[in-house]
Amino acid sequence: MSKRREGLLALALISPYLIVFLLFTLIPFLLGFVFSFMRYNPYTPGENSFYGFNNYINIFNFDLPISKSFWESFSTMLVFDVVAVPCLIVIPLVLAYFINMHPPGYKIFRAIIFLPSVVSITIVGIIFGNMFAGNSSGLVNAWLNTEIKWLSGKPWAGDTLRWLVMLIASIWWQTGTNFVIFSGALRNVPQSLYEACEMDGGSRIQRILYVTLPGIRSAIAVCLFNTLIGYLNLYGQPIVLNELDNESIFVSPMMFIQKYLTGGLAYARQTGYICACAIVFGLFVMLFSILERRIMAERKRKNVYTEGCKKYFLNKGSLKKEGEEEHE
Amino acid sequence: MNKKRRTKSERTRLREKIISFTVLFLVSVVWVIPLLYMLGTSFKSDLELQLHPDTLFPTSWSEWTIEHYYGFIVRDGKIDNMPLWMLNSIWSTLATVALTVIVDLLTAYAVVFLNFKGKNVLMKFLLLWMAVPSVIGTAPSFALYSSIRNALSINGNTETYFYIYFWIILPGITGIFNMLLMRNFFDSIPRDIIDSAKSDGASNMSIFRRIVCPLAKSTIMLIILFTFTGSWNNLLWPQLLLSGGDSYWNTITVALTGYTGGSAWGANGVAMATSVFALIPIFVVFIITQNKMIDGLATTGVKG
Repeated sequence: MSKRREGLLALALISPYLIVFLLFTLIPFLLGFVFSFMRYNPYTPGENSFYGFNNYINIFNFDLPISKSFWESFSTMLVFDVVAVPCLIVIPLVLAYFINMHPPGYKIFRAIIFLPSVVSITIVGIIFGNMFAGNSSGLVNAWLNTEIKWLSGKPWAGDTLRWLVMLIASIWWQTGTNFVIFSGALRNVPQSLYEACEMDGGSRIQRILYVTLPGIRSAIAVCLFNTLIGYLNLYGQPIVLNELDNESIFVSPMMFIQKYLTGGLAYARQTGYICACAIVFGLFVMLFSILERRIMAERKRKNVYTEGCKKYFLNKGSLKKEGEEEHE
Repeated sequence: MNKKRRTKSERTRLREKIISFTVLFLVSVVWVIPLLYMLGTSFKSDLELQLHPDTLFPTSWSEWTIEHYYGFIVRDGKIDNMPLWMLNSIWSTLATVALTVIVDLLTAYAVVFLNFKGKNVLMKFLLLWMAVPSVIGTAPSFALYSSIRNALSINGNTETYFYIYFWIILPGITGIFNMLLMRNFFDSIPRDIIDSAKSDGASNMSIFRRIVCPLAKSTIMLIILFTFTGSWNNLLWPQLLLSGGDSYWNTITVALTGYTGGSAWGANGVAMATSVFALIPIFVVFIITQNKMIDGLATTGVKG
């Protein structure tokens, strides 16, 4: 086949991906930068005008109510993350450590702990919202024989109960993902290292500190950054675990952006400002993803699928079965 | 000496198993309580909900009822919204999954097996792009969505419905992580096989169909799993697009937010029954494929 034809064929094959990526990811991204320098309202295309850096200046003008609520949402989210992210690393790690001892029925335990990760956040919200309902119809209040208003109030500011429910729901919901990644990583720590450590008289604590944790260093980094970036984009939990008297409180920047975008005509004139907020917030998130890149760059590129497939071809040398079973 | 050591390590191992079993058993019991509560509450009658909020299940066998399920599918002799929400979710999720797999297969094939200008630039760019947070695109995407809608004056019911779903489905199909997963797998196929097929006169089409696709089955499966759960559970973007639309346009995940927040807490039988419905497809997929899903997640390290 000629080079030219091959190039055309390749273009034809990648064009669906490229076109969709261009239209729905790249162009909106670039437009975001353009809008952030404009007074932009999608409903009045004629009146949009260039606004310079004013949107950005307004973000840092803390006297404006809208900027105040943006930064409040930002700081509330950060406080929540400072508590939630370590929980979502330590708890999965401990559970993975136990599952790696392979007690009887460990596959069932593994499936049960992973199960909530496939449940959608709205269902998590319905379940936990009803369990922690403020009146006596809630499961927890009925058990404790109390009428605690779990879901009212703003996290940290006077009332930490709603924040606590959000934390419990988050732990139940998302422990599974990190837990599975950690248990996979723990399995790959060479047994001989443990034995060597034991031979040298290392205690269990020493084995954990000097063999286990260094052995799963890269998995910890992956989980830490993924969880952190995920929780910077905190959205579902505060939206679903909410009550009428605090509906207007923004708990995270995502919630703030969403509320302003869905506010209809009244809020549409703030679109340029919201784009600027999203960029400021996005750059903050990006700091962490760049840091993650830096740290992961040293991690060896090890693709288990690649190895499994190579092993398959070395062993069989034929094409009769697909090479999927051997990736362990 | 040797024998004594072994018994000691065997004893430690046994103790490890007992401790880990106890811990994991207790954790698992706590972990299933919320799900059992959802299931049990959906079968409680309204009276039972008032009288016995402290139990997971109805207190006696005669108290079990399916009124929440029935009342939710057919109400006053008419089909209720719930089946429509399920249908919306099902077709949009299936479309997302199918398009993702097709697009990823084609792109990865071109990137790995064909030579073209700018291939390396493209891959480097996509790798870089993975670090860009999607939040920057959310607001302008929505603005673009509304301006196109205004410009084309899309107002009719059916038009708007399909326009919204067009915007729900398409942005989700170009996940870079999935594409790289596919490319990495294709990269691992030895070139000798492709080269010998080529020298036997096989066209790109037949290499793609008869060699590459059958080999990629397990990777395709993994992408299907990640995309299916991701798309079924997607809340933020569909909620943004569907806000202000007719209530029967919602996907089930978005529709369920109607039972949360605000003053919704309380009459919970119907909400629980709907949640049970919404969970069925995900659970079926999970139960069939849980080992593959868990292994895939453990080996690739990131959820899609």
